[in-house]
Amino acid sequence: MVDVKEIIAKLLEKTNENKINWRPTPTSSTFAAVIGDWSVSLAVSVNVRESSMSLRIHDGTGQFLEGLNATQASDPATFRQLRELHQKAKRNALGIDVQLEGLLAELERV
Amino acid sequence: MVYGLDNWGNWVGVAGLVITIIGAVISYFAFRRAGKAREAAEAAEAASDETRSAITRSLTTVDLERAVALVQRLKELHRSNRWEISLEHYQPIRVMLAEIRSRHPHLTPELRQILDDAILNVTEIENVVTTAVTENKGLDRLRGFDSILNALQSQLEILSSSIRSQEG
Repeated sequence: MVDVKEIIAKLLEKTNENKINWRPTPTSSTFAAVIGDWSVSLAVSVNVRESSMSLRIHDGTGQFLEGLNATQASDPATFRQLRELHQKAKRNALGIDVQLEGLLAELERV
Repeated sequence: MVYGLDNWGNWVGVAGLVITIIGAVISYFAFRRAGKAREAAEAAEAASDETRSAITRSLTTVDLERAVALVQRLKELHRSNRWEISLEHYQPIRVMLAEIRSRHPHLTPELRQILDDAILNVTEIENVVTTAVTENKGLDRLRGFDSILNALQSQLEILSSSIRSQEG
């Protein structure tokens, strides 16, 4: 049986290698990617008490297959891993690096 | 008679040459016929492929039009706050879009991205609406999805016209 945490580790590895095309979604704090015949989405939810990170895995039709929720209190290691993945997915989805390079180039010209 | 017997080897050679020429002529016509048959078979296969892809394109544009109509229905349900009923509409749209994706494995990366984004967006909206309906909170904030569904409809229309234009 595959552990979802294995998938998180692999997602992090492939995101670091820039091999996953993360996309923004209608929810500003959720990012998603299509990988072959599956898709994954990463969400962060913040409330006054604590933040939680969640990963959802869907089949090719968007049908939910498996998911995982982690908070700092419930599973600190997975929470940290998902938070890192979420930050990188966000940078990739919003093209933050490209935008910052553009801004820097603009500042050089000013 | 004596001449014939003395030169029988030459006669055999001439006969061999004649047989070889006849054989070559027969082979030439046989090859030509086989070539024409092969060309005809290839043309028939190409015509059959073209008919198959025309049918696929036609089915896809019909599906995309249905998907656009379903998104329209979803927008109307959202606007009238019929969230629970709207939950029944997400899955058919997702499945329809996934079928289109698998039916067209050779779409351009841009068109494929439109389909992938559409599936991701519908899945995410469904997820948020399901949570809001289940927990009975945050329903008023879901109205923001209207503009996303409008954009989704436009994207599906672009996809439909791109696929339809391949027919020309």
